[in-house]
Amino acid sequence: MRHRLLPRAALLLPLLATAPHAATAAQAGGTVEGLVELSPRAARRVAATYPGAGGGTHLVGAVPPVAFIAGSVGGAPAASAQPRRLEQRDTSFRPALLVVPVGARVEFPNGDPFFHNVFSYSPAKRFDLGRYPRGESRAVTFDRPGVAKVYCEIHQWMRAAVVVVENPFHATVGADGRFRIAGVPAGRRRLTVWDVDRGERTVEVTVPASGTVRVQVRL
Amino acid sequence: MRWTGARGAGAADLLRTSFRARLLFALVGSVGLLLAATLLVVRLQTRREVGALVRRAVERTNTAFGEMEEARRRQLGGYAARFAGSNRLPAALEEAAAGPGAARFLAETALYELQLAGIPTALAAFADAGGVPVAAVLDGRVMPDPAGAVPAGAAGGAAGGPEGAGSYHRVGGRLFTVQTVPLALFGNPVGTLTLGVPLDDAAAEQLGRSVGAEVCFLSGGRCLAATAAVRRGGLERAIAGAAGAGTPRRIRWNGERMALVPARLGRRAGPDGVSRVVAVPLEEVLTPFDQLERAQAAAGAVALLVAVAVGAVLSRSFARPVRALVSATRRLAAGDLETRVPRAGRDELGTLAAAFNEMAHGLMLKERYRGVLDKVVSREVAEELLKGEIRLGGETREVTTLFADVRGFTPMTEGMPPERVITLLNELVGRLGAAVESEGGVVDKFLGDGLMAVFGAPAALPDHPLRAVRAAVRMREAVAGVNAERAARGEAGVEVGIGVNTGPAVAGNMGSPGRLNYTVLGESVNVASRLCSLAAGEILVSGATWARVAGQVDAVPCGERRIKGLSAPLAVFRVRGVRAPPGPGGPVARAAAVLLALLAGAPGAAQPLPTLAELGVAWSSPAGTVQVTPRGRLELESHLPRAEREWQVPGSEPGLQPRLVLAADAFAGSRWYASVAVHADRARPLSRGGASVRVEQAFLRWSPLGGDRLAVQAGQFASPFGGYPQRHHTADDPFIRPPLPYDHRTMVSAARVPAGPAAFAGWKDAPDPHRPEGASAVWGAPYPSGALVMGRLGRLDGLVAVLSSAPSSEPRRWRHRPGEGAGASVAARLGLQLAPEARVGVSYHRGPYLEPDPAGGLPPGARAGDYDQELWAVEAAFARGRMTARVEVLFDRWEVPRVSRRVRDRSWTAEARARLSPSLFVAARYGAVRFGRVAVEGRPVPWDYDADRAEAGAGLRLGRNTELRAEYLILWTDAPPAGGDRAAAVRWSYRF
Repeated sequence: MRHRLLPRAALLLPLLATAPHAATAAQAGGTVEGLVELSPRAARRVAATYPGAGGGTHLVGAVPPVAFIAGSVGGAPAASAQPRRLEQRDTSFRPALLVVPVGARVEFPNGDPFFHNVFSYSPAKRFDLGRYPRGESRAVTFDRPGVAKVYCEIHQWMRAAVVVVENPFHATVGADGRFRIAGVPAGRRRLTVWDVDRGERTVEVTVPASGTVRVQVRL
Repeated sequence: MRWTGARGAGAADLLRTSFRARLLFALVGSVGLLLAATLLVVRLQTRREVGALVRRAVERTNTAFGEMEEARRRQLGGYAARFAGSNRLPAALEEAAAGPGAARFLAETALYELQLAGIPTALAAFADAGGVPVAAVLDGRVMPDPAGAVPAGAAGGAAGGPEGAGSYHRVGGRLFTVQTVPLALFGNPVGTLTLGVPLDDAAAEQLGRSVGAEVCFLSGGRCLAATAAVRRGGLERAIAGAAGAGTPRRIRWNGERMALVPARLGRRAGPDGVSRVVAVPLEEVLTPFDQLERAQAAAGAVALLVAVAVGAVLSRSFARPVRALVSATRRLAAGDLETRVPRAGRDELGTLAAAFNEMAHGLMLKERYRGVLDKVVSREVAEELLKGEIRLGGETREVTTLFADVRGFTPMTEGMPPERVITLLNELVGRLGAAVESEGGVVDKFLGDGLMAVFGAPAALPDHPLRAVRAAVRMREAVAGVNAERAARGEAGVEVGIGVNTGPAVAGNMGSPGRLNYTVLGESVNVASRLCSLAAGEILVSGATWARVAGQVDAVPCGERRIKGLSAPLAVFRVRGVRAPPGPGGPVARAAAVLLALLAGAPGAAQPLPTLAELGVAWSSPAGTVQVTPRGRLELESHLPRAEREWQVPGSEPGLQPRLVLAADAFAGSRWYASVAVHADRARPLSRGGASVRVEQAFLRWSPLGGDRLAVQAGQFASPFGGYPQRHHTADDPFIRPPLPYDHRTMVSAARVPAGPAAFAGWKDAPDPHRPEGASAVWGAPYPSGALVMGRLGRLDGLVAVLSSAPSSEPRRWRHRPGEGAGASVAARLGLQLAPEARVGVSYHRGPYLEPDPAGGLPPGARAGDYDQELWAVEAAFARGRMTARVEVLFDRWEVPRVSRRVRDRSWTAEARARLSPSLFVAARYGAVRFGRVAVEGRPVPWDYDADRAEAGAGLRLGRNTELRAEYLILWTDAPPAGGDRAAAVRWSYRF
């Protein structure tokens, strides 16, 4: 199962959107390069497929791991107030992983020709958008840092995660487990790595003024 | 008689009470048993019915409850599936399990879902994947502490399947039917949800109504849910008690009986386990049985009463004739031969009564006949007739006939009334008859004023002529007495004429079988009658009679008379009186002549030969006060073969051994008696001597009180010790040999003294010739000399004797020779006649047994007289009809010099004898002797070899004089060579 999961995750990688501000921050500060070793045994076993209506089977939504610097970072560029979108289409959340700054407002437009009922019971942001038809959208403002796992009550194989961060330094972990966060201001920083099935881990890194610090995180 | 009567009354009482009681007991007992059995059957049936009812009720309850529970569970299952199917609750649980803050949210979510589902009162409890309670909702409220709301093992139960999932749970004093389902997110278990609906009074009421019983659900000893009746009546306590028991229990509650049937719900046992008790009402099913039982008890009581009454009546009706029979029997025993019992009916008792009446009638007739016969014929003849031994015809024998006739009777009675005449005649003739009977004669018939008497028939009397003459003299004296009385009154006297003749006559029962008359017939009888006619107040005897009594009777010849019917004239003598007898020379010579004749021809004699007394070899004083009667016995004995052990005493040899015994008994009056017996045979033991003639017995006995009440005796006589010596030569003992205890030599010697215990114990293994040295336990039949006093008191008799020799002493020591014996011994005997058939006795004998100077030498300072032999004998005899049985046990103790004063042996003999016919008798005997032990170097060693002997004997009497005996015996002994030994003995004996 796991072997099949990882290649699929790798295939999905090009679809994932990366925050554009990461590149701007890379000019001043050090780079954090890391290798995430995903343990072969996940914290929980997840069914690969899910029975859907009409007898078909559905893939459980895959959420890539993410690495980010926890806490606020002095001197970091402010996040833009631009609204974000987490669309429901083809009974999937797109994108499956959305990293937003604290205070960001996220739209949940329904792109499918049927109702969805998006909710999250995560302490980072509990919300229940209720059911709404195609074309309609609801918005949620994420005002606390943390990770909110997003589900649809009607289509139980759908899942997504909204990672609410306090600084712009984050990166999606690649299929090979590698990530690179550039332009992190020097100093001692906490690096958090999160995976939907394995939970999260935070390590201390000392970011140099310039150059690269390499970390290895086992999750 | 009184004793017998008392015993009879006691037995009758016993019979009466026990018979009635038993009958009553049988009746009442059988009725009672029947009742008990019926009651038992009804009880069993009741129990079975109740059991079936309870079972049915429980089954019904189970079914109803099962259906109810299934519906509830189905509903619960539906909710659970719905909750589990959504990802909201799993998502909330996942968050709650991750952090404590989310638990409240989870509970509220659950509350929302329950309200949405429309079961707001239900229980919902969550546990995480590890089974730890996370949150719970009850009655629409969030429970502050969810810990008690989740059933233990819910996580495991959830994994275990539907069975485990369905159970019961107690939360806050309420009972819930719970169902636990797993919650999963994306197929991943995040924990469990336990949904429960209350099992409350309403549910119990619903169940109770549907099954018609009271129901209660319990846990922890408390009634958590129950039907209204249980709640109302306080039945909970009884039910709580019953729940603990594993089996149904019956109680009475508010006057109604019910069965409490407990059942465990769910899999959990112990105090937290949940159980259900169904109270099944029994009143309805028990009522008919109760009525039945009551009716049965009433009917049973009536039946018992009837049984008692019927039993009493029946037993009375049975006992009355029995009682009547008993009292009639008692009256009969007392001599009332007219006694009859009423015929009770046609049953067995009636038959018994009839048989009794017949018996009484028969007895009465017999007694009446006896009375008549006693009057008509002599008592002896009457008894013979009544014994039924009446044969027609008779035997020719020599008798003396006497006719007496009263003269001058007619003139004397002139003018007397006839009754007076008869009385006088009877008085006179009665006196004449008494004279006849006093001399042993028989009044054959009364002949008006006279009588006819016979001497010598039916009982043989050797001296019948003399007796007849003496009777005649007595008659004359009697008449003289009557005349003297009459003369004193001035009345005329009478005379009696008597005729006596001796000669052959036919004696026997004459007449027809229907009417017999014992009498004597013959010419000699006629002659006596004629002599009587001739006699005028005198006694006339014929020459034949005179020849027989010449020595004792004083008579004068009256010449010869012609007698009618006799061709020759008859010499007639007139008797003057009976005189003193002549000297003994004549009879002795005659006895010797008779003896010689017997020796020549007696064994082959077909006819009974006369005895010495019958031949007139006897002497009697004229008054008859002194009588000497001789007896003789000739024996021929043979012991075959000579295989028997040498130490058997007396020693024996093959071939014929003759023995002649001549004895004489002398009576002087009724107080003095003397007896002498001379034996001529080969001396005992045979191996030690040749022929000898010796006086075996000679003694004088004085009975100062007459009879046998008290007697003193001195001389030489048979030893009074033990049972055997007294009867050893009588027909009572059918054997030739003495019994084993009297016929066995022990290793104790009278002539030798052992050197010590070892030597003594070794004697028994010495070579055979040594054996005869030993002393016999008791000599066969010793005749010691001595003196004794004996007496009898009621049924008790006893004697004390001083004797010259010990029980084991050999014959040469029997007769006392001053200065020779070791000393006198004492003997005693006590006998008790328990019943006419049974007798017991004990004997004792103790005295020195050693020879005056034993060859072995006595210890220094000891004398032969210091060593005693002591014997105890216990005997018992029983005789009934033709059977006789006898047992005798002897305990022997020897004082053996240098060995012990307690050298013991014991022996016993048991004997049974049967008389097969008047002339044939058989007997069997068993004897054993057992020897004690002496200490040889501290070890008990038997001092002689035990022996056993079995014997069979038979005797045949040929006529009245001759007897043949044969005996066969088998002897076993441990003495080497071990094994059995056989011997036989025969004896022919002739008494004269």
